[in-house]
Amino acid sequence: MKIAVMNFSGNVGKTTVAGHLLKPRMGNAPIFSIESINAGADADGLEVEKMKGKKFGELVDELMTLDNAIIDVGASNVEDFMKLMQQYAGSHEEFDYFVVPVVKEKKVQADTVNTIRALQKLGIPKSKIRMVFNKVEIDDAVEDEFAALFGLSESEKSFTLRPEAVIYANEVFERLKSVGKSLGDITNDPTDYRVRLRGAKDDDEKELCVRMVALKRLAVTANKNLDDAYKAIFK
Amino acid sequence: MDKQLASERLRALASDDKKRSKAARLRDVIDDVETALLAGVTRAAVIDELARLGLEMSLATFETTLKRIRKKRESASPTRGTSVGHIFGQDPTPKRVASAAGASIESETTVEASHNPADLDKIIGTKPDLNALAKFAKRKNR
Repeated sequence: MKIAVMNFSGNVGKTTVAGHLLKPRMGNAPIFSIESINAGADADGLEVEKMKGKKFGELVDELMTLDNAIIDVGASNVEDFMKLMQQYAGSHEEFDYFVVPVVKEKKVQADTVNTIRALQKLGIPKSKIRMVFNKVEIDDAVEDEFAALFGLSESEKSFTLRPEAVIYANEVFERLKSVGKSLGDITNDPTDYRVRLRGAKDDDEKELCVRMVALKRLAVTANKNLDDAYKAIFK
Repeated sequence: MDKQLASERLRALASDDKKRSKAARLRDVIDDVETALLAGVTRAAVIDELARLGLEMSLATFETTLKRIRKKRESASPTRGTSVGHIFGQDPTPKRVASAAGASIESETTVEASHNPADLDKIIGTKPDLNALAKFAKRKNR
């Protein structure tokens, strides 16, 4: 499966979606980061292959040889990327899905409407465009917070929207950035930090152990949520 | 001109793979190529096999040629690529088809791609009316 993650808007959590939601559920698929201003994936402890939007042809050639891949298209490159996709007629067929993450800020929702409309203009069918609601608070009702997008879905029927495709706000994603690890690293780390805490030699080690115990707890919840979101997006 | 000789020579040319284009040679085996791709064989594996059989082409050439052959075949066959929009006698844009035919029939085949970058600029330069869209959702949910 080859998935492009994009939105004209920045700060919608494309990197979280690419690295934490998709990658571990797609057989550890490689991430190609199309970003001239990259503040994303590297900081989250994820390995990414960086590429400029203008190298679209090379990317498509490489994608053909792969079974799974995630293409994280940075906001500053989405326009270029789409225009190149338009230029290489039919190249969008190389992608199985276009995942559009969105957060509730009005400006972002407006950019998201344009992202969906632009993808539609490129001839991409509804079934390939999937939305995921990101950074949603537990007590938010997505139908209210994202009413405009539900309206867009009803009126233009140009993309696939599932109210359950939700990633809840979880401070684990911010904390991961500070420790430079991926969610997978945390989940797969077999260390029992409570045991290690008891034998800790200095304050630094103690602090690390305390931080890791909390991080592991948060990671369990985040992973469960991401499992559900993944199922909802692609069902 | 000796018609008999011309006919013989041209036929000989037609059967000489070295004189025929790669596209023509791919066309010879296209059905088997499509079957392999449909079965999940990667394009790279198909290309490798073709190269072993004497037809060498890059991924890019293969991809372009495949698309051209498919397109030609599609336009030759009146039953393929018929859109729901045409069946319903509607303008075959996805929006109209979907709303005319109801939610259960949403055409995948009628999405028409624009090749004009100005169309994208127009979308990017437009500020969507979120309130109007939200009202639409509320109306539908009631």
